[in-house]
Amino acid sequence: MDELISLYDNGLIYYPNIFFAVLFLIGILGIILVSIEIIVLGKKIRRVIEEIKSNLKQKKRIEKEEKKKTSFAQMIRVFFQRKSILLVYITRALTVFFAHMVRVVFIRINTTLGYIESQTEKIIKKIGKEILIEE
Amino acid sequence: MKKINIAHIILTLCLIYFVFTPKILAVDYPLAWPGILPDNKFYKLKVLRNKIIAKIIINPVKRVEFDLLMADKTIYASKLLIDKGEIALAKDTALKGENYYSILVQDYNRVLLKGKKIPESLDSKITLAAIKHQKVFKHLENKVTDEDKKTFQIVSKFSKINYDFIVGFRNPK
Repeated sequence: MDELISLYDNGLIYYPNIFFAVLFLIGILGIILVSIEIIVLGKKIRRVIEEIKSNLKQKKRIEKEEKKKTSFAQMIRVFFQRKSILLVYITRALTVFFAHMVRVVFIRINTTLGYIESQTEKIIKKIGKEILIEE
Repeated sequence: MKKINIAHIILTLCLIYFVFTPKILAVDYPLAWPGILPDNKFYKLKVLRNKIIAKIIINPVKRVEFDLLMADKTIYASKLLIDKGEIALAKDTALKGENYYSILVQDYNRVLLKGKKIPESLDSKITLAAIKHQKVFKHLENKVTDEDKKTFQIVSKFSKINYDFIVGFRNPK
């Protein structure tokens, strides 16, 4: 260590211009190396940031797709649930409606039959009267 | 017997002479080349660089070495400016050079307070540098007119004071 210090001091005292020139060159070299290192580091950081961004995008996409999938499935589920409920109601309503319609149709048929019966009775009565008159 | 005594006296006198006085006269200490001089446009940049270096040196002993180098360079720059004829700037530069040496004294003291040892080679360099600086200032004094001499005399005095401090640190009472 002492030898190094004495070497440094001797250089400084007896060869000051060379010492400062070397110092200057080392400084310039240091600045160049540091700037190169900063550039390389910047590139690396950019790459890492881009990777992180792409990963985030992928994750977001996957999440969105999963969300879509899940929502679609839920929708289908709900739809089927609702449809089944609707089907039940519709079938019920339809049965009620058909029953009512059948009932109405039967009543109608009954009334028409009644009407036809009364008409035929009338016709028969008329025919009977006419026969009686002719006789 | 008398001959031996005379020879002894002459020898001791010679020794005293060579040990104490001639150092100042015959110093073989080359000052570092300053490079850009203070009259250059880019000298401020150099000063800024040196201030930065002074703050980022780790080892305190190396800081002393740096201060010495700066003092040498600045004083040599002052000499070169005198040769160029830029005396006003040379005076300022000489003062600044000696200021570097006083910073060296402070750093030297700090090193000693930390309990660290200053290498002998650096210690001898500091001594030789102080002597050389004084020699240069004297040389510059002779090159300029009387009005400008004062500054260099003052700087030379500072140099002596600084060196006395260094001697004081080396040999604490």
